[in-house]
Amino acid sequence: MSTAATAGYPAVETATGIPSGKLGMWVFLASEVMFFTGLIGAYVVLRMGHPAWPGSEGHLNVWIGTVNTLILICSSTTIVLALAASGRGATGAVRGWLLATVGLGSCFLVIKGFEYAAKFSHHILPSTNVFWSCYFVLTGFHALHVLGGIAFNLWVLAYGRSPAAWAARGHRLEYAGLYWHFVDIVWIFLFPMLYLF
Amino acid sequence: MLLGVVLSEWPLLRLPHAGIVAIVVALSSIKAALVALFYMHLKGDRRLLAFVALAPFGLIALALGVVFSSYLIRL
Repeated sequence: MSTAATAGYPAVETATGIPSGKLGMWVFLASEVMFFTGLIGAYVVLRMGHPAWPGSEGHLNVWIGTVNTLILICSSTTIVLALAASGRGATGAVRGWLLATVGLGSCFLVIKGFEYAAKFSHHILPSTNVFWSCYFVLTGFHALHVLGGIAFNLWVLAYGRSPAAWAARGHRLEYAGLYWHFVDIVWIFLFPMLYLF
Repeated sequence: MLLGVVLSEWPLLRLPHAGIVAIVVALSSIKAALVALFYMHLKGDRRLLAFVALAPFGLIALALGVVFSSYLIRL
């Protein structure tokens, strides 16, 4: 429902009827699905081949993971609210919701940073064993994607400072939203696989 | 997801581990599908985008088929 046309932007004439930027973002996300599935697939195969995975040393704090899950889901909601505000033409509200999204994404990274620091202080490193290698690779790449999403959101937020820039490039908010939701979906799978099983 | 946390942390339930894994993966898949359908607007968008979104899963199924076909050869 929030295509470029319904979000208050002029409809773009393309052969597919889909704005090129949006189609490009979806193709990029499809490649990202392959990237993360390769990593998650390797983790599942390694885990299935290990008799006592991950062992007593492989304990993660479920509640920290749950809080981070809640934070990412809330940030998905705030970026949806930003897009809805954009559809109404309420630029001030768009900026507010985008800032909230950036803030929640930053909270996620800070909590992840504390989690990493706690592991490092107990001398748990990626080289400790296969479980921790998988954990740091999967969560590390996800955290980099969160960082990328924050940068993308800030880039879109910068357009909000000038009405002319927003009118010309504000539709990129939808692309930033697609990317941000993808990052959320990856965490939806990483959380149970790493923290619950 | 919270239900998954409760199920995995609640020993009174006495579900087999495989059962908990199945429930949690199913809940995760439903939640991911809801995010894609509504937050990412796949439900109301053009079908082409749904094909683009589903294409990698076809490739993944192909790749997994090749990987696990080795089990058949071993038997």
